Amino acid sequence: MNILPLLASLEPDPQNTWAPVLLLIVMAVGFAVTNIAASIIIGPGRTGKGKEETYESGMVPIGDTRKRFNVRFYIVAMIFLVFDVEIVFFYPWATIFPDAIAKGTSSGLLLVEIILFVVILLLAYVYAWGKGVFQWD
Amino acid sequence: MSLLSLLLPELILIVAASGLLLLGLSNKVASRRLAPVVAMLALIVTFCIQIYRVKAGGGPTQHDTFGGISRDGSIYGTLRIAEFAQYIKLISLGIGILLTLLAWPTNDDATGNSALHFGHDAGEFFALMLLSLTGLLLVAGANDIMLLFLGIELASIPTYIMVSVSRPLPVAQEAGVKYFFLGAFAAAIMLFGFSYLYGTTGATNLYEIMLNLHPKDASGIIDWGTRITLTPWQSLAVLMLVAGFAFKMAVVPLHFYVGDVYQGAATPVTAFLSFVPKASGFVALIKLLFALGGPNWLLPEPIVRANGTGLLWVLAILTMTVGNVLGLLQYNVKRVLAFSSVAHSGYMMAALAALATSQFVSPASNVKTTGLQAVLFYLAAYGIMNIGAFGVLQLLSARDGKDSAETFEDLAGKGRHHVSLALSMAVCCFSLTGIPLTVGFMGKLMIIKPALAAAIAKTPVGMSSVRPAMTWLVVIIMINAAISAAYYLRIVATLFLRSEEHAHPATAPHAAPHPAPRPHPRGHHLADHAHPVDPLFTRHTMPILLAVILSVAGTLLFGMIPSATELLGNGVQSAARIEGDIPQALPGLSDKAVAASK
Amino acid sequence: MQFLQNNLLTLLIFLPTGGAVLTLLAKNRDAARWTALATTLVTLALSLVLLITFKTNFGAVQMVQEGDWIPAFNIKYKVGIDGLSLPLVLLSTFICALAAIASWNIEKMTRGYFALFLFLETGILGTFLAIDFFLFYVFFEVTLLPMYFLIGIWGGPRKEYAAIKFFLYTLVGSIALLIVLIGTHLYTKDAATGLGSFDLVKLPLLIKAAIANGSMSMDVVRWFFVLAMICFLIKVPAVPFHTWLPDAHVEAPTAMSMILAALLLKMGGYGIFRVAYPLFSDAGRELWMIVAFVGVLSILYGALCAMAQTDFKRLVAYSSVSHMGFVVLGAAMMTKTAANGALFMMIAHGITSAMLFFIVGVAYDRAHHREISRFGGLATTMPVYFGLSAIGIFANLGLPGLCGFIGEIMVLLGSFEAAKPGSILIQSGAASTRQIYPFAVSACLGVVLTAAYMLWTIQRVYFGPERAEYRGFKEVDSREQVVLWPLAVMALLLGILPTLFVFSYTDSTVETLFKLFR
Repeated sequence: MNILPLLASLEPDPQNTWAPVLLLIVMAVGFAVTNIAASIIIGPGRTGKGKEETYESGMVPIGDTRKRFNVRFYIVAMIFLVFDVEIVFFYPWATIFPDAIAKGTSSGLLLVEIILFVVILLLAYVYAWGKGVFQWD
Repeated sequence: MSLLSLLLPELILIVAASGLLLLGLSNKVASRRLAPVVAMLALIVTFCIQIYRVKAGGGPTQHDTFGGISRDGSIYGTLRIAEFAQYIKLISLGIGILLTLLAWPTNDDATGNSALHFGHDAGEFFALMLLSLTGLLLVAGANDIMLLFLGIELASIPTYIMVSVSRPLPVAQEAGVKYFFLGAFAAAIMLFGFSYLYGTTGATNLYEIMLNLHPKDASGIIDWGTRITLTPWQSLAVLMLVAGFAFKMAVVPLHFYVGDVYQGAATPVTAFLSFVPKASGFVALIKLLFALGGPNWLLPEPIVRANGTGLLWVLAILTMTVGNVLGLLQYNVKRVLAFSSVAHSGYMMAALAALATSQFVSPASNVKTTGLQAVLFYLAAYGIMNIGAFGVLQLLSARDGKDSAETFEDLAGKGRHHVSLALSMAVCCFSLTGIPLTVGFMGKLMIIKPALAAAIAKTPVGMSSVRPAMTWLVVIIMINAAISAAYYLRIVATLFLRSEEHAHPATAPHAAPHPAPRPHPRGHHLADHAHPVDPLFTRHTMPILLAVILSVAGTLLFGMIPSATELLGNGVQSAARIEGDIPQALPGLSDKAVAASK
Repeated sequence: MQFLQNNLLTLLIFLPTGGAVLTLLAKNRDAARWTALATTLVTLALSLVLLITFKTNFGAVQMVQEGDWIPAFNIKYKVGIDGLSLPLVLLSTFICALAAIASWNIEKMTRGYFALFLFLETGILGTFLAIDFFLFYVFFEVTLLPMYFLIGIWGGPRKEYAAIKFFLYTLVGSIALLIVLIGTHLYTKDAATGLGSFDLVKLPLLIKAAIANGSMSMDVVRWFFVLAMICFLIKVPAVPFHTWLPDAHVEAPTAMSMILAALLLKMGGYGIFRVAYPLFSDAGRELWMIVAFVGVLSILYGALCAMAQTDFKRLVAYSSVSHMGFVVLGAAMMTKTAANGALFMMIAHGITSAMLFFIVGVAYDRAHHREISRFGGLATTMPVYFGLSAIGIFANLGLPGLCGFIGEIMVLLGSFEAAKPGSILIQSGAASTRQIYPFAVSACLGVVLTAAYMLWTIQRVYFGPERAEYRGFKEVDSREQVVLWPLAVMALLLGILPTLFVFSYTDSTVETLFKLFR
């Protein structure tokens, strides 16, 4: 089966820019399904006592699989979010900056806005600091 | 007006909230005592600003283009703050003051009050409260789906935390987690809907969306007389948006969380939940309705043409009925009030459903204005009367004397010992039922008016009559008013008519669970003896009592005194002059259609 | 004096409210009782002033006092009085004064009781005096609240059930009336303000105009009439909607039963004549048969139920249903005689039902039960009590010379009159003679049934051998006589001089009313 003419027909034209996305989805799903199907079909299906062990090597598992992580890890993740969000918002601000000035918005206003934004995030940082988030022990 | 002064109320609240957050770092009792004061000051200042602005009126359009993002260079920017927004802000701040009073930490170490135990987190708690209110204010002014979404989320996210920290009980944690997950889910669906709306119209500005949706003639001039027809994708967007708003409003298919969450949260937080997220949902829905039309939502064109109603009509009827029927079945007063809150959303939806028929009926019926007036009035009315009910629940102690009242058993016979409190509860319950001389009655009157006006209005030739559908709506509102009376009466009956069997002897209003129970000098024959110094008025109960008094006074004043009713009425009326405020896709009938209706 | 004249009606309405506040502030029970009694007596005296100032041949509403209440909706505070309301107002102040004496033995939360009682009086007077539809509605519904508490707190064993049932039934009716209220507002345009009207004097004309110019279809008029009638028929109560009444009466304290039967039921009858018929007379003419059927059904079914009761108070309650059926029938027939008869019936029933309920209360206070079969021979034990009871019972069954007779005979005469050519119903083609006769004849049967159950009651309760367990019963004491004698005298006077006491006031108003019906 020659797939190329089919692909050619999916050539992204300006009216239909979603075709590549569709193609990508089809390929991603197809790849996964194909692999799973293939392993079921091709793979040898031997069973036995050894095969049913958790580790085929013969090692006996110790303890429960549920393990608690220290809550601090989550807190650190959240603190990371503070900075993450900051960066996410800085970027569009920077991109519209020239446009906005060209349209007549005062640069001072934009600056004040972003400074306010940073100050609010800083407050969150100070709050976290005050609550002792950064003390590991 | 410059941007900063336009956003002054929001800015003040955010600054206060930031300050409170930092105040939350301190573990001192004094700083916990300071927290509600700061919040209250901020609210009062903003409230006064709002009163001034509503009275001054301002121009019809106070707008901001926000960095020239508005693409067609029109004056319709991201924020549109005119009468409608000013009114919503005014009532939210007013109710916010009452809600702050309910949450005032009054016990000795300022870790909460009779119903609320936020421990050391007073600063954070009030900061969250102010942030949530700020969200509501932003929703009121939003004219852009991005800001609308951000506003709704700013109003909602703090409430998830408030539910969880409101008291150290598993039931509150459960409520918080439930509320958070479902709320996040609803927000995601809402955002999905917004993205489709953007995708199909190419604009985030509500006004632009409305312009893009309207049919145009050959020369590109918009034909205002024609109804918008939504494509399937746009209908899907509307479905998801309405679902998202419905969660905030507690409208029926998305009402399941209400019982558990309202019950689990501490009473002041429950009161908060029953107003702030609900109001944000309604304001957003009104904006969507005016931008996208109404009857055309989801139902196929033949059906819409057949009876002129649509999704909102169905939702209104379902919400009222399910809310009231579930309200009948509850044993916990907070759950009763929770489902009553669902039912009241239904009444407001009924007014919106009537509003949405404006394209099908003669403009003389005026349903567009009266419908909007009804929702706006009812929002304020519901906020005022509901707070009184929750406040009384806080002041009455539970049977074990450790906590504030929540179940019917807790309330049994309390009317004998706390006549004034029980009477306040009765006033609020009668107001919620809609008995005359209360604000609830005026609200119900205003809700029925547009529905009835649409039911009896003339319809143009060719447009099928909306009469049967609207008549049914009126009938169902009537039936529901009667059903709801049954459970509100049950509360009043429990207070006054039932005796306090096996009740705990300590029946003094219990405001401070942590210190040892105060001895109470109150006898059992209060009504027949001159009573001793009223233990109701203590330092521990004062703020809550003040909230109850204000709420009951408001309930009666707005229902009775002409000038007060006029005050609210004028606010509502000017807010409903929405022409200069929200873009509208509900243009009413063209002159030709009106002529044909004769 | 001028001030009094101008504000008389307002003063009359709100005087009891002032008294209620004073009662709440009273030091002890006795002070509360006396304050309440004084208030009701002053109100009674004020209402007697009305008799002097009232112009009998005026026809229209007089002594009008008007002010804006909620201008945005054209809602006014407008009170006035005419022949429909004057007798009822006098009845109200009279019965309330007696009920205050009748409730002297209330020991539980006395101050609260009398305060609510006085609020109730305000509501009742307000309902009868309001000329603004909205104001009427407000008073009409506000009376529910004190009554709900009065039954619910001071009532008998099943008080909670009875109170909630009473409230819910009446509330359903009120909501139906609310629809009518808003609907008429939407359909009419007041020339002065351009807004809808709530003025009960102007509304009939405005609605006629709306029907004439086609903006209000007959369908709508019919619906509004039906909704309004449902509201008032629940309150009256007429048969399909009557089940709240026996429960409420049985559980209510004696004085409240008096007020409930004598005054609250009249609010329904008054509403029929003040709202339902004047506003929607066209529909009333068309649907006469349904209304007449409900009326006759109430008469017969109420009487039959009364006959089957074993509880004395329930019996009296069902007799109220039966008697109020005459009021409904009188309205349905749309003749002046029937209307006058119905109005008289309301007054007469107000006197007799209050009397009967008090009589039951007297027996209950002594015997602590109300089982008719367990009474007997009370005529021998308590001769004075029997004498007064006999007047009440005979007045109730319609013995000529007592008040009940006039009302019944006028309604029946009016019904037969309606069957004559030239009556409104026949002339408009809504009914034929042959259709009206069956209703009139079956109503006559009701008179016989009433006589039957009332006489049977006398026989079972008062006659027969004296019973040992009742031998120790005290004769009616002076307080009870103070309540019973005025009622007995009024029953007699109304029966002998009906024109002087009622018809001279109602005639011209009924005349005005019937101008609207044509």
